[in-house]
Amino acid sequence: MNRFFYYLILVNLITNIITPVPRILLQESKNGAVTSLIIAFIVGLFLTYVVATFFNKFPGKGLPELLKEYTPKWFSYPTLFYMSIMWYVAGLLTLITFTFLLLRYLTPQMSIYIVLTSFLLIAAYGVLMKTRSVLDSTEIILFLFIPIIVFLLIEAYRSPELNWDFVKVAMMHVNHLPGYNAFTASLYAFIGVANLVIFNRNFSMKQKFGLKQLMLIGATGAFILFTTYFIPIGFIGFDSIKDIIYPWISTTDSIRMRLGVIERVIYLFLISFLAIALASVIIHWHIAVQLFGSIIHIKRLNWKEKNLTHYLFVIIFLIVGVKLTTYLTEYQLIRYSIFFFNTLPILYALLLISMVAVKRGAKS
Amino acid sequence: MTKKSQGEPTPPDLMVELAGKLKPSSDVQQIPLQIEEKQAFLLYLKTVVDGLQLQNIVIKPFFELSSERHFEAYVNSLPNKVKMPAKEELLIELTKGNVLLVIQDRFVLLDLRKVNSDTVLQTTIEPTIHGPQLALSESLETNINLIRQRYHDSSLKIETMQLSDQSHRSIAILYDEKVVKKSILKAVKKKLNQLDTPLVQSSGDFQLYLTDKKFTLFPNTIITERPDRIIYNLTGGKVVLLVDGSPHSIVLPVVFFDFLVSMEDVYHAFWIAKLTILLRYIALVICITLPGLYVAVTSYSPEVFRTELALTVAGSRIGVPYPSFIEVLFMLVFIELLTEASIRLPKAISATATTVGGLILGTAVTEAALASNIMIIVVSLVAISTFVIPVNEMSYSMRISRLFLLGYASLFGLAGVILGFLGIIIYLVNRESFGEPYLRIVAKNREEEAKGDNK
Amino acid sequence: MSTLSKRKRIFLVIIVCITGIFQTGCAFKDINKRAFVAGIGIDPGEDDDEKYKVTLKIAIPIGSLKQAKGPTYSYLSYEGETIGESIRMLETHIDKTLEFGHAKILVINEKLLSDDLGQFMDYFTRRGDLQLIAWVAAGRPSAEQVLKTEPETESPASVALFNFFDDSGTESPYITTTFLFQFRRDFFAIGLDSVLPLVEASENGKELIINNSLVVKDKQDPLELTPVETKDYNSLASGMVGFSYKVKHGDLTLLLNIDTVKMNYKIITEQGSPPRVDMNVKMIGIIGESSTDLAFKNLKKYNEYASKAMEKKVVKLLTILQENELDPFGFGLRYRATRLSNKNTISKWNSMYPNLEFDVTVDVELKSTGAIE
Repeated sequence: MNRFFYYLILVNLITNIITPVPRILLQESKNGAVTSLIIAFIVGLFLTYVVATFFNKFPGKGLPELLKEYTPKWFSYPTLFYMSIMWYVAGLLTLITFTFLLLRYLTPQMSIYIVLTSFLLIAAYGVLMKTRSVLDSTEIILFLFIPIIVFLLIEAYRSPELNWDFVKVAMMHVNHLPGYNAFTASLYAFIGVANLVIFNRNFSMKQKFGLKQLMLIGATGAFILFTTYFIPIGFIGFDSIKDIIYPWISTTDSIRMRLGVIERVIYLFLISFLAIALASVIIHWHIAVQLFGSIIHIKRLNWKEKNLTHYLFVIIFLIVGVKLTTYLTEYQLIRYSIFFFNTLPILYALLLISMVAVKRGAKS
Repeated sequence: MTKKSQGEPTPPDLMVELAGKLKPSSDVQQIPLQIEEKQAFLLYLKTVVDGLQLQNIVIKPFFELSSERHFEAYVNSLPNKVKMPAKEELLIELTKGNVLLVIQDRFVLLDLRKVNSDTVLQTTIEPTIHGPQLALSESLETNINLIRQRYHDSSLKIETMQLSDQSHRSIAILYDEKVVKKSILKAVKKKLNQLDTPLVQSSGDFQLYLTDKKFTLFPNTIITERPDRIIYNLTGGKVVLLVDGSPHSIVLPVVFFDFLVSMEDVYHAFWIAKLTILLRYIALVICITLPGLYVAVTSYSPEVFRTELALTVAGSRIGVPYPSFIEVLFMLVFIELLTEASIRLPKAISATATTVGGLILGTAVTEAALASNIMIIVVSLVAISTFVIPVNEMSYSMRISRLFLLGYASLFGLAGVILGFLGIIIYLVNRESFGEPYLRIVAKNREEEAKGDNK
Repeated sequence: MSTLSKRKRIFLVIIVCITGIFQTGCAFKDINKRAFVAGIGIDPGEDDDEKYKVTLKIAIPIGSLKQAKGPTYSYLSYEGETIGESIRMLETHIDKTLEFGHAKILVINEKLLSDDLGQFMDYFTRRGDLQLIAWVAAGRPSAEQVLKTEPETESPASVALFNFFDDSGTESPYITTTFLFQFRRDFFAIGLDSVLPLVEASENGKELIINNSLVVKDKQDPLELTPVETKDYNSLASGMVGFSYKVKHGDLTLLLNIDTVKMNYKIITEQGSPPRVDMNVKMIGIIGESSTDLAFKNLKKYNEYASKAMEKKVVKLLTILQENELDPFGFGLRYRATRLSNKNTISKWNSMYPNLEFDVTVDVELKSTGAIE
């Protein structure tokens, strides 16, 4: 597969650290979190393979085009609508969590509206860019910030304060049955492949997607999932982790760079994940806008030879985003994200059904 | 067409008409040549024609050759002969330094122009240590000559055309046929043909007319005075435009990274070149983010500092009456003034300006507690980093973008610096220069991996 | 394309407007309007009604560091029902905003350690702006006195207490280093107890001594480790080196300078035999001081002497801890980490620990007799 495909998957894998996923997983640490992780890893990898090979058969085409061409309207329109909402919520989740993080740890006295404005001004511009530019921006953001994240992870892994006994205690809880919440939350990390529904439009060449590529994704995914779940336990401890709202913030605040320019690693973490969160929000909302645009097109909104429907969507996105962010409490955020994660299998099922439908349509 | 009479020769009507249009300029010369049966007329502008050449090439042979027929044959074989343009453009050709010659009712146009600006200049804007020391001249032909002499390949194509503005300048389009992207060439030519501007003075304003957008911050083309940079870009498949009378060439399309290439990189060993390039990118980041970072860290999140540094910074700000962002703005304006002053002043005085400004005022400002010591360090570092950017236009753009970043930082704190920085990046990514993406990571077969789309 | 530039223009206008409006907003606070809290001390309240007495050590920035003579700190104290309340009140005692981001040391009066620690630790971990890599130490005679000590060697803009812990100044195996996150983690962990350094302030307020440590367990009086025990614990648990061991064998007294310590252990529970810990320690070093002349070829013999003496010391330390039902090495955690979890794991361990046997093998490897024989 081409580079951009891996970027899409990678951004999602990394973003999962700053969504409520670790919190949900660690809540279940005394139950079946470990088994859920393993199952989600296998299922996620399998879905990645299926979705990637499907889109590989239709180079240069996104899901909206395929659905419109091969399936009846009563199926394609509701499906696309549902999907666009899911993608919007996925972006929203990252936005809200990160806004809360910034408010709590970087600029505690700042008004929530200001924090949101700073983020949304840039994100709105990014969402309205050409699809191609979204990919290019993602590449540059990853190129700039992955080194910092890798450095951060190295610091975490080689920190003498990381107590592996706690990690092992957590692993010893492998003998519990998996939980649905933990399973769907960890499945979220692997949703990156579904971004192909729009981005496949730009992948016009037939790609090779075989065992080697799958292994690469699998290895990266396994490493990131492992890190997401076990590293916080090594730093925060197994028995007291349940009380921690933002496990990863506490984890990175526990790493100290004795000789670094900045002593507290937490700021490096916040800065680099801010960039990744921006990329993730742009990707998700860009898809949401494109999906919405494929079903709703208001002809009257023409201005200087430009259709402004997409601008309208973005404005609605922003308003709803700001409203929800200021309305939600942290407790509600976690509860609603669990609910959102729980519906992920429906999204996947819908994606699989439409893939089958398209395949049938294409054959006949 | 003309009446022929013995004795006093009468010039052809067209010539009289043309001469009439050029009057009352004092340098119009309309000279009849006549000896025995031979007869010819010359019309030219004295100030733009090389008199000596005219004497040697045209006038002398006229009196030496035996008949009009011989002279006509002689004239037709001259290398200076240029194609006769349409009647309307004849006047423009005359003002360029061409001589109109009439023999036996036949009109011939001879290029005998005198160009006083064809001396090749020293490189001043983009100096290098190891590279060629000479730049371009202010004459189009000399410039083409300079480039041809460095690039002996028949695939180098040079097309000249004339602008339709008041100055009627000649411009030349240079490209290497083998590597140039056809779509870009087509876009450039289309743009040139559509060009509707009142006056073109130099490459500087010409490149502005080439871009569609009126309000741009980042340059869409590179202006360079270095022949080696021109060649480097030609082999890279780019199109180069030369404007007559300007010692700079325009290279297009550009990508962001072109602005951080100094020709010196080509002349250095691998690691040295890589290190200097790395240094330049660090300077770029420092130059745009440092003022913003200073404000964000001192006023929003001082816990990012190490404790010792936080105390030092806090200590150095004791007594400074303004909030940090005014302090930074104040010092940035000061440094911009200093830069601007040293450009405008004659070279002999500009050194004094920098000394007075940089050293004396800097010390005095901290003594008077108008700005902190750390601030002076920050501003000097920023100023120096700006000068590291090899292409001047980009350093201008960066000077402005850091103000944007400063605003974003004083508004949103540390997160604002990062978001603003990313904002600049995605803005650049989304930009295009003649249909080519402005900023993206260069890699092999990238077109195959993801095609561009135009929404 | 034209809309793009327009968008950017509008964008810029918005920025300029908001800049003007919000500039004086609440989050914007210049660095010289903040007071940097360098350390927090907690004592039991002197007044009977108040539970805690909070002392803050505030670093005062000075204009020119080079000309400054000595450190400049200011101290604030307040007694209150809770820590949070006291700190809130302290904010009214100072003209600047208290900035806790640089509070790198947390001193707790040793008398408070037998109380319910969970409650007041709650405040420090709940507060987002307090760093989790702050050091926690026990203070004697009081946290206030420890904080107020200004050693002669303290230079401006650098707190002496930090230098003890941050490995950039003095490095010694007698000093236990415990971060706030570590303290919290180990405190709440089942099968692992936390160790805190004990900072003693001298009478004249000019000297700080840190060479003891306390093993802390919830609702139990902390156990004080002597300097030698502290050293042994640190070298075994965290491989800290740069110390000397005294070995006596007959009239031969050797002082060993150890530069590498590696320790690993296994918990063995076999049917039929009592549970035991198999501990292997490897030490590499040289002889630093000797009461008699040494023979180079006898190094092997000295190794044996040293190993024997070491084994005794380690077993003694482990037994003392076991008798007090304390487990700073985390044997219990290791036990949990090597067995599949079930409901009884913890209770099984709790009944097992008092009867645990220690099988310690120390392997000392001396590389040289120093510069002379």
